[in-house]
Amino acid sequence: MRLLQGIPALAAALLLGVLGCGGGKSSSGPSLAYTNPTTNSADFQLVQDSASTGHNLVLDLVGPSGTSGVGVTFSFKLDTSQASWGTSPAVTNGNVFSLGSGTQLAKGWVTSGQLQGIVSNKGLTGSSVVSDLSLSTSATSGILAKIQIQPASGATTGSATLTDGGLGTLLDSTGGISAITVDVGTLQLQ
Amino acid sequence: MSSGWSKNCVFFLALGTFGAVPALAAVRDGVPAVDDSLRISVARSVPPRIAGLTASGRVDATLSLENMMLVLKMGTQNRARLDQLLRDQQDPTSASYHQWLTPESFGASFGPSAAQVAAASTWLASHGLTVRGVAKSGLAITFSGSAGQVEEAFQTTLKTYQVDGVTHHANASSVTIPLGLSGFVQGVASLHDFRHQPHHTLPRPVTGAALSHPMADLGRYGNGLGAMDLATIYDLPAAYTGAGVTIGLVERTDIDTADFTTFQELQDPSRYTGSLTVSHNGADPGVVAADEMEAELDTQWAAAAAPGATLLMAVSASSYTTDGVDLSAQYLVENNLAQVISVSYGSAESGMGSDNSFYDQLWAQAAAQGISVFVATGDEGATQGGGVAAVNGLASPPYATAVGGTMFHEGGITSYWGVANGTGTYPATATGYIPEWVWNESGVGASGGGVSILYAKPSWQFGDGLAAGGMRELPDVALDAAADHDPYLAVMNGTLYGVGGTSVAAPIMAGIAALAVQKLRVSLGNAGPALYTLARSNSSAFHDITSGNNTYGGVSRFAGIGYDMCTGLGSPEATILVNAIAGGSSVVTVTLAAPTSTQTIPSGTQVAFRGSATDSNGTGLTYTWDYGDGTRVTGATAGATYYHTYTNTTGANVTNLATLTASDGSYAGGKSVSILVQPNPMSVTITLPVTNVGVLPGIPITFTATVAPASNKSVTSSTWNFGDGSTASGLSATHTFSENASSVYTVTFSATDSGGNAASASLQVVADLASVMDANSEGAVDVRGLLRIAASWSKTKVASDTNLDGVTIASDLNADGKVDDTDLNLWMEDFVPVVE
Repeated sequence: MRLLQGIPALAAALLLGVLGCGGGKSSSGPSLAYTNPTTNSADFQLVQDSASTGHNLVLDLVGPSGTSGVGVTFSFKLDTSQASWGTSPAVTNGNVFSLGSGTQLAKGWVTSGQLQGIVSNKGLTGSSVVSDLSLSTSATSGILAKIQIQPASGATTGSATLTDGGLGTLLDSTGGISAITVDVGTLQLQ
Repeated sequence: MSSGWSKNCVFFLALGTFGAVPALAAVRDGVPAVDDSLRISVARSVPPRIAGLTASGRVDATLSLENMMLVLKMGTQNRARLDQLLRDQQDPTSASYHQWLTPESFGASFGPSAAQVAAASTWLASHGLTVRGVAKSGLAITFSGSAGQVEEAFQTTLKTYQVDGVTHHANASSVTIPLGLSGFVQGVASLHDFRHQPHHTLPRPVTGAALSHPMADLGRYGNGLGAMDLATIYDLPAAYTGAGVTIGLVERTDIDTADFTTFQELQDPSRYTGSLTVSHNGADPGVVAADEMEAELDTQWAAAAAPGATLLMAVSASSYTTDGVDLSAQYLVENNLAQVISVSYGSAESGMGSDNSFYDQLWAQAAAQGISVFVATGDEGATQGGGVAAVNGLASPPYATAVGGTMFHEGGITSYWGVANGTGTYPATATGYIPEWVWNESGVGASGGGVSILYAKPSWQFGDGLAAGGMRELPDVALDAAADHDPYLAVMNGTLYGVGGTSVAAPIMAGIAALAVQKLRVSLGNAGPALYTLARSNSSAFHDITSGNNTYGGVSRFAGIGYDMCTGLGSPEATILVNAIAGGSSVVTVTLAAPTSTQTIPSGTQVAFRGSATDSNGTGLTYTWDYGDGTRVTGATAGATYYHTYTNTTGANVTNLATLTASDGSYAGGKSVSILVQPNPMSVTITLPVTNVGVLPGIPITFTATVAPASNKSVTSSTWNFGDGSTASGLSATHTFSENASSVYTVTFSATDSGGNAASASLQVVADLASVMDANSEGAVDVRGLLRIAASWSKTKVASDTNLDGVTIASDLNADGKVDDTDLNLWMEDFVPVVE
């Protein structure tokens, strides 16, 4: 990859180290617990997916009822001393967007503890979708993206900060892009 | 009957007053014996519209005819004295300067004698006709009677004619009057119902998204002009609104005044502090559909120019024989109801017969009373629609100011207009003055203008572009009148329309005059002398329109430097014009050191400009160079040399009027010089792939150019200079900017042909990773830029980018003309740091 050419070898080694730690499946240490945000029907929400475990929290990005669009971006900030972004990978497609063939836009990047992600159709020709799920951990439809979080190595019991990073946008079927706010619940290690 | 008219001439004369004006002893002509059997024909009293037509019948002799006007005339000596007074009223050194008459004092000073009026009235009555009133001036007697009585009195026959499927009636033969009356009776204002024509174009409803916003992008019809656009383009002085000034509007229909309010609400309601009053002169005609838009335009656009003025809409019903326009015009003047009058109707002066004298005398009376009259010249170019050269007889009298039409000529420069539909609550979409040329839209209309066949050139009509002597030339000034590009917006019956025509220009000019009256605190009277004097002393008060023609029906007039019979002195630079006319005590005199005379140069030539100015008050001056091609230098320094390169790719000569303007904040002066730019016989354009956009460093970019060599010549060299030290040859060249580049490069393509002609074209590219990846132009590189590229995926760049809203240009990272997976991959590869 062209840009990795510019990253010093030491930084790359550290990066690989982080990746290695993040991928751990150890059952020891505190486990993650997530409480969904208080319902606000006007905002996007980050809610717990039913596939979550104590050591691999899966969060679903869902939209307000009636929202339509063909792509989203989002960002979240995480207390990396307590938790880390999943690596298998951190961002995957939900069940709303059609990613098409070739290059697919379901991807996440992490820098300074912040995850930037995108899940989107390519172009505006895909069908516009409506996210109309109920805000619960049992959501099975209207999931825009899935995000994975795991306990950090050396994590201790207590709270872990997880907040909206402010880069959320929604692409509508006409090409219009508007900012969105994502309500985030509380993350605990217990 | 007009409420303000005297019913008894003797009583009127007893009440006549000279007021504050110098005593003016009337010359009372005698009244010879009236022998009804000795008759004289009134010249041109048969309406030209019936020429060649066969009458379809005779008007019923019992038909009641109302509001006919017997037009009387001033004695020769009285007219000479009046003309002298009118000159004195405009002469600051005269005791009569701006000393205005009342209608009564005008009549006492210049009108026909009581004996003459009585003789004419008696004669009318002798034929059974009923005298309804006598004008305060004594210059018109209103009467009524049956068709049979009229035929008997004027020894003519009234017949019916079919014209364009409409039944008209008119006198079939010349009107005659007793020889004994001919010394002071001009004739009848009209005995037909061929009406003056409104001078606006066919209204086009504004529909769709544009309706929600007055500063509309009308697609192929350009930009809809709102009130704030008008203020911006013609630089209306914000300090004046016309408050305390009444603008009289000559109409013959009612309107729904809610439209007036709606129009203002679509603009900026806070601007409008004036009012609109509808005054009926006699019977209420109701809403006359054919005239409704005219009245809407007059009210809405007079107020747009003078939002604090009092608008008085004089409405008179047309009768079988008399045009409501004539009645409303007389109503306003006879009752001295306004300081400024706007008229948007007209007829060819050659077809108006006695109506010409009626308007000549009425506008002279208006001028004597201090009223400034502005009349639209018409929308049929150098004709009035008859296929022969003609001017509007309502505008041609020297005591009216004739208003013609221009249209905007952006010349491909897009910066004259802001974002479509603007931003903010009530924006001006226009960003400043827009160069103009003569209004001439094929199949739509063209600026009325030409030479009067009746009136000698007035003493004040001289200056650049005007030959000495001869007949009066029209128009005097002009403003935008285009209907296709770009129409004025107007509301009628709740619907927004796009409309053009000189009938919009006239009320706007009337509104600008109202601003000057407000500043001056006294009426201006005939505006002509002040306008021509100003044009000679301060050319920056007008935008001289130097190109175009008003060809219509095979008759043409052409624009040129200085005055021309398409746009007159040009369009107003309203702030300078108002400040200068309304009593500026400071005189700013601009002198050009270079160039000092008209320059003729080939395209691509650089011209040096230098000039300075003096201010009679010694106030500091600010300077602006306007090179006439859309380029301006503000904050220029006096005496400094400025260089500007003119290019011309039109294929024909282009004259640019370069102007140095100096302003002391209140008053300004200007001096212009013409730069005639000859076309370059060879043209060069860079067609693809990018235009003023970012390109990704490290990615090969292919540039392509097209060359059109001069006729019968071939291209001998083609060279690229990429601005980073690299060059290439050929019409197409591929170049990769440095991987670490973060710079703006000017890419230039140059070519020469076998005739020795050379041409070049340039574009700028930004070879900068961050700016390219910030595809959504938010000033930061983040994942939102990738979403913008996703939105453009599968799109192909088109020249105008009309289908992509600018998206593809920013999203096409490798500038290959399309947005695809390559662009997505480039972005994702270059987004730092990447940790998955």
